[in-house]
Amino acid sequence: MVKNRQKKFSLGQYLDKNLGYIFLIPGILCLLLLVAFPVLVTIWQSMTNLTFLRKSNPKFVGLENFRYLFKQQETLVGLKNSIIWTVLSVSLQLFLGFLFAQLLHRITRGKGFFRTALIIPWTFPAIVMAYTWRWMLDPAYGIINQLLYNLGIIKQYTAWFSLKGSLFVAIIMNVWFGVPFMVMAIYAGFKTIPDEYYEVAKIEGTNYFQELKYVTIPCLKRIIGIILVLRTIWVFNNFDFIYLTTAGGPGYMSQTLPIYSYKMMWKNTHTARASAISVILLIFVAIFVVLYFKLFRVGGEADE
Amino acid sequence: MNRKKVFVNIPQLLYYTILLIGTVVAVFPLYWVLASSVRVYQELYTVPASFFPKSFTLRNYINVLTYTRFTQFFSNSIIVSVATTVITVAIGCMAAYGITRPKLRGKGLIGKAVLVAYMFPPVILIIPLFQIIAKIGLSNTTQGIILTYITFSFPFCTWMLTSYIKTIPTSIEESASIDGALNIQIFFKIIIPLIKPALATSAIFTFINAWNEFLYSFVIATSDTVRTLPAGLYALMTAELMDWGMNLGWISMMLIPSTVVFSLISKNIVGGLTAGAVKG
Repeated sequence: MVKNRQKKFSLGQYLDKNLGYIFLIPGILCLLLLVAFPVLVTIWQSMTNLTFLRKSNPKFVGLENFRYLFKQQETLVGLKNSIIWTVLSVSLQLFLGFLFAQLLHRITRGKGFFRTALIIPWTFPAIVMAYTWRWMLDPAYGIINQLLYNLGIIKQYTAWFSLKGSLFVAIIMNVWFGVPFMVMAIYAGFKTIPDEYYEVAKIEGTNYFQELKYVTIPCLKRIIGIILVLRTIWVFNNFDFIYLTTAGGPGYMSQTLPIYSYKMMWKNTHTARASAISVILLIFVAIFVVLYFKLFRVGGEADE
Repeated sequence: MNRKKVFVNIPQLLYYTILLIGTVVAVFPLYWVLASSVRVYQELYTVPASFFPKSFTLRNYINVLTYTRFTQFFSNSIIVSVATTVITVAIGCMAAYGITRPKLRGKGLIGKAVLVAYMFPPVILIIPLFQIIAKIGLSNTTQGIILTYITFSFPFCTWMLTSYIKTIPTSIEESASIDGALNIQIFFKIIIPLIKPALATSAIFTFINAWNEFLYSFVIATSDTVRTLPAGLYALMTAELMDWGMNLGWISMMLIPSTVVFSLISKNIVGGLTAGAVKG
């Protein structure tokens, strides 16, 4: 029966044998056409003089765009803001995430309730979150202004997203949004640590920080490392949160590189310089991707 | 067991207090949006605001449905999200099978490429994608938006399914293969049924991501006939006559489905996002 079929459908058999390859075709096409090719286009364009007006026959100008960018105050502010935004957001998210994950792990009752409640910020679509915070921080009717005013912390209602330091307000919002993911991931990690480890530590008479150093951190190193890298990439490249709250303002005081790239493209219509900013972002992402593979060897076969 | 006895009363009380503060901070914005959205115009713009609404009206919701193109954007969003989900999950589970199952040369490389693509930020891709989509005549079309959505949904979906398929022992397939089953039969009759839970999770997550996405839709769609809900909301917020009542109604209608669905599957998503990180 089997032999019969093999002879009859030799082409079908051939295709079936190579099903793995065939199944990979659409995916590879997606990656090549929608990710790899656009990246190459960006890199090429970053070295030309292409703008919205000069669409045809772009000239190759080498690193001219980068030279121009690094002479601009706006680029340096963007770079500085990007670093502040990423480092502060991610470290606060991690700290609070770790804290709440540990509390969640240690309490005896109501884990389900707190888990569900703490996850809420993560369920907000970016634009909904941005406008929710703008409503809460509204200069005239904002509930947070009201609260801080009543507590005597501020003397008058403040337009938080138009302040000089509006980037820090956006960071608070970003921390609010990002903690739930950290909590859930680290909490999942806590559950994999065998209780015996802590019992042994207890017998040894360790205090909390020793326990942290010798039991908790070694056990959670891998998971924390992975979420840290993923989050860093994600936060570094985040566009929506800042664009929809401060829009990079006042001026470009809270502008990060992604916003700068967007503005260079759609406000200044300078495709080449916008691409050059993308390339700078790309370099950062590349560093983190390499770091990720070096540190954790995940993905592909290395995962085994 | 010993551990539990050590943390009696005082530490537990402290834990609950901190958790409770965290919970209030986490949940308050949700409450405040919903509670504000049902206030009448005068109360919404009253200082100081009361914690509980003194009035109750659905006027804001009705206004959104009557005076804005919410329903149009809503159906656009549904079309884009469903199409993205179907395409992504189909291509994703095929690719995940290709990466995990047969002994292929270079599959590790493809697995890595998927992971790199997953880490690729939209903000880098949007400039060239915008140009490419314009070149092939898809700017300001639903198809154009869907194409851009595949860039972030396909890698995630594939990665998640790959890590899930890896956990399934190959013995069933091997015995099926000895019995003369074709690979394609093994795929549809054995693999697909076994990965159903992961398929469901990645489908829901893809749908939510497409539903929430702002930047691509905002750039690609330039007319109301194509805009999705987030891009439509942006247009409403930047309009000259900005009314918080309508905005809050709109926000609430976007938020409720997202929050409900997301809460239900959040646990599985964490597993997917950190696949390979927690073993066991």
